Amino acid sequence: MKYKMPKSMREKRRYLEVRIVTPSSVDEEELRRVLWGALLGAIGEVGAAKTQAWVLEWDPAAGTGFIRCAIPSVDEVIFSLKTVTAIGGAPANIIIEGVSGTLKSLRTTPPVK
Amino acid sequence: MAVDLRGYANPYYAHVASTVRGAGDLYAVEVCDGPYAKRKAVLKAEHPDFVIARGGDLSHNRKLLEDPDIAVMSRPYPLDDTLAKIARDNNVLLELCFADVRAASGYARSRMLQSLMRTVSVARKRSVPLVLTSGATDEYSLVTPRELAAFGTVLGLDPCEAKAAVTTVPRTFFQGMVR
Repeated sequence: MKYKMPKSMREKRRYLEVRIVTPSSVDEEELRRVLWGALLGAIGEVGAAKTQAWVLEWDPAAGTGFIRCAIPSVDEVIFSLKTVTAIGGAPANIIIEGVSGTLKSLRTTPPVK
Repeated sequence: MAVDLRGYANPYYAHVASTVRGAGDLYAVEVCDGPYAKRKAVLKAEHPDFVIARGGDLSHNRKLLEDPDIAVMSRPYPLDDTLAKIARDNNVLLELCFADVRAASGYARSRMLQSLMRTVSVARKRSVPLVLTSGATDEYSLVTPRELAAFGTVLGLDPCEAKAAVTTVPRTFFQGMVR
């Protein structure tokens, strides 16, 4: 049986809603590679380990998805993602549409535009 | 209600100032290194709403901070304690532009972040107003207010100070310019 930490002992997380502006399509594996490349480049191996960042959901057609990370590292993850200027040779910009403590509230909050 | 003092009009910001005429609510001119007469000639020809000066070495920065025409100073490093006091007394905003950091990479970006962190440290000590700007020109360089606040936090600002550097401080400046 898989060991599961009691809910009261689990660390709280933050969820980021991201949108990628790029002329080409980006799949989930590529986004994961971009995320970890950006984290390692901006804050190093120890910093990247502390972020506990992970791609939760990704919709390649819409270019939107959700990334999970630890609460103290939210700003570092956002900063790292903003340093990405190209994905797969095409110019790209990763925009953080929202930050929240639950996926539900991110999904129900209306977008800026 | 966020205000970007160097960007382009987009739904994330209530007001935007731009260095391109007509791209924002206010038009700014960025003056670089050069003699006083040359700066005056540029301002006379362009008629900007406000002037952004690009920092250089310590003596150059001092001259710029003492110039009454200069409202915002971009790349304000090197900044020492004396310059910080002059900036505070003359109400000059120190601009931390994200586009500069994004354009650099590797060693250059590290050194730039190091300079910006030192600037933030001195500015906080002397209560100099700091403003975070995106420097965006199109959708590929767009930075939202939340992302700018994260950038400020990475540089060493408190979350509240970082948020104020995107909202309260530039908004007060903007309202002063519009009146």
